[in-house]
Amino acid sequence: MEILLRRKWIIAAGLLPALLIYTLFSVYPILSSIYFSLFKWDGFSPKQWHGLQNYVNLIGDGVFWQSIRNNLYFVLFSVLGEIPLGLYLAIMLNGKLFRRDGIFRTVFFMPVVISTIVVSLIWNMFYNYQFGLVNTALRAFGLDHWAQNWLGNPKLAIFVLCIVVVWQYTGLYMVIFLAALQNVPSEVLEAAELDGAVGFKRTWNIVVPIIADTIFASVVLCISGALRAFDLIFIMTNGGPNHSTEVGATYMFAQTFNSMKYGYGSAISTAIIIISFGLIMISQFMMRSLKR
Amino acid sequence: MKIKWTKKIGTSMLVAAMIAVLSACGQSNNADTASGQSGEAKKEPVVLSFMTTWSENDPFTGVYYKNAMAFQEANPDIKLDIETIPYNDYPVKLSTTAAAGKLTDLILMIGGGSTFEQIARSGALMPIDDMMGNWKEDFLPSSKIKEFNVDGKQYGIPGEVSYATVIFYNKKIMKDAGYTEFPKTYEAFKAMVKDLKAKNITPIAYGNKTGSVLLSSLLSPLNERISGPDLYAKIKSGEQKFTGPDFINALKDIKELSDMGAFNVDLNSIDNVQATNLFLSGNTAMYVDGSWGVKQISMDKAADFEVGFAVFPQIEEGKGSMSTMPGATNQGVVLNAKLDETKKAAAEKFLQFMYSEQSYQNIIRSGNMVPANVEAPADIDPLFKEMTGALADVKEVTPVFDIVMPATVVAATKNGLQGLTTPGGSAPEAVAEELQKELGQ
Repeated sequence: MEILLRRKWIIAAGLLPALLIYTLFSVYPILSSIYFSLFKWDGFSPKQWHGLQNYVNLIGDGVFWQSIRNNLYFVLFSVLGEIPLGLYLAIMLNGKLFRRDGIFRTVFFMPVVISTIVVSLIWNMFYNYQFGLVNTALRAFGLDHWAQNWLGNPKLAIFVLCIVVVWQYTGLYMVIFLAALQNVPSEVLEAAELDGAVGFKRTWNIVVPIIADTIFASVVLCISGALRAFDLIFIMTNGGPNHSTEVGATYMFAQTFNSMKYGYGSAISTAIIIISFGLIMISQFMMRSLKR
Repeated sequence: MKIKWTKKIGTSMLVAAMIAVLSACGQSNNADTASGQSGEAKKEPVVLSFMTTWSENDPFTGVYYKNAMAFQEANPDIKLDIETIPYNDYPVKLSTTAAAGKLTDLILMIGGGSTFEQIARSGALMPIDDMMGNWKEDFLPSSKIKEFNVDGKQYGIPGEVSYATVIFYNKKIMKDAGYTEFPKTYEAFKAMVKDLKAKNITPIAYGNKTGSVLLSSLLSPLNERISGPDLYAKIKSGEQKFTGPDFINALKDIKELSDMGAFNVDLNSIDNVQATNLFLSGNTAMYVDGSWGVKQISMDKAADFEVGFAVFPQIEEGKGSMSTMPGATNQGVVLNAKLDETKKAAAEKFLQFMYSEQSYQNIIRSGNMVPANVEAPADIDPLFKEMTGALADVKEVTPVFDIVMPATVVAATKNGLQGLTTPGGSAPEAVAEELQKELGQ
């Protein structure tokens, strides 16, 4: 430790390049975005000072709140879908049945590594009203009235997208949990078995507490990922029809680059930062109280 | 915006009455620039960076790409450094690079309109008035290149003319349903839609995922048929309002069509390529898109699939007429204001080549109408020929909505139209109010 302290400046020098890059590509754009959000600007003409008017408009903008609500659906589905499913799969694959079988691991992890564009296009085909797999299957079973215009129905579309997100990222958390499970000492498990804790009981009372830290870290990842959602929606529905699947990021994009409101778009992105930060804080706080 | 928008589109290129008189520079001496290489050191070629949507295998822009390649072939001393951006992303890319002051030497302008005018007025583009001597009035009438003229300065020359609305219909389905003639009035058209629906046929395929198709192919013609050619100019000047009866009636008509089931259920979740396929696979009686839609239909249709073409019908109590059609001129290359003399000279050569008689004939061959008076080549696509025949009575072109209105209004309208055509979606009045609000900002 003493040696470490004496070498403080060496450590600082080692951190400096990364810090510089981070500042240049992350901190600086955020700050400049906050600066732009105080103007009315179309990208060409001179900027007009707008003060906090953009934020006032934002608070009265129904579409913005709808997009944030959609973001929250994403967060809920991700945290309550991906994490439990990932954990379930990890425990299954860690069990005696599949332990030596790499193939399932690969299959479940596949959606994570496939490019989002490909995922979006594949699921677009699944959901196609006329020829899609989902509707074709329903019609084959004589459930014609269940066949839906999945992505065009404003009430359904966002949930339909949530399913895709869960499908896409469950594998990621499965792999993280698998790694954690493999660090659970076998003595503990054997002892638990001797004491009569088997199956679900053993999982819930012994395994989950041991990998709790990993689970918490995954939840934070999950929340920030869900708030950042953009590419999948951009390709599958482009926020439509009529904003029904808009999330914060797509709305910001549309306002900035399609409507050419650079100032307003910057205000939206600043608002997203604030809201995301708040959500992460709340989740941290909840986990801390859970740990106790 | 007190420009008179109406333009005369002569169909003379099809009548082939004109034999274009080309000035000597119209076809500049492309062949022998490669001479004089022996002895002297080889000169570095002039490199022109060029941002465009053109790509070789795209049915819509392939011809321009090939023309550009032919230009390079003929001019080894000029090199095009082409950056291709997908069509749907192009407007965003264009406005952001313009805003950042990072425009390439040559820039494609897909069409005229508010974004282009904004960029031109910001001083980022070079007027080409001093080059316009290369094109004679009787070859390229100035009335047809107006969209690329801002505040009296010409910035580019369009490569093609397109109409925003052509109704493509499946002749067999129509005949089986008992229609040999396409209705000439909107009332009769609606009756036909109802009848088709009753016979369990989806009347119209639309691919409105991006929002632009309903805007240009349904709202624009309805506005024209109801209010005549100058509604948009009046709305922009404040003389009329989006919330006025004229505009709202067009929105109501769209909602009415949607409510009677005139469109494919998933019109807002598929794009126009998918919608074309829906039509070509015999799932719908009609497909509505711009005149550019003919290319994909021509490429993908089965040999025995018979396509009919119709002009948007007349609204009896309206002020518009079937001889008028919303449309646009597209595919003009504009120059960066920062070009030096060498690059400017090279760019001028490029424009001369790209908008020469030969190039225009290639553009016609690929299934486009053109603004220049050139003879139609003998080997054009018969389907395209048929379409131009069906459109022969159209004499006037009025500007489409998205060319005239500011970007914010266009974006809001796209969403509004998606709302109108979604079950349980928006009401026409609410959409109109939203647009008026956007315009006022």
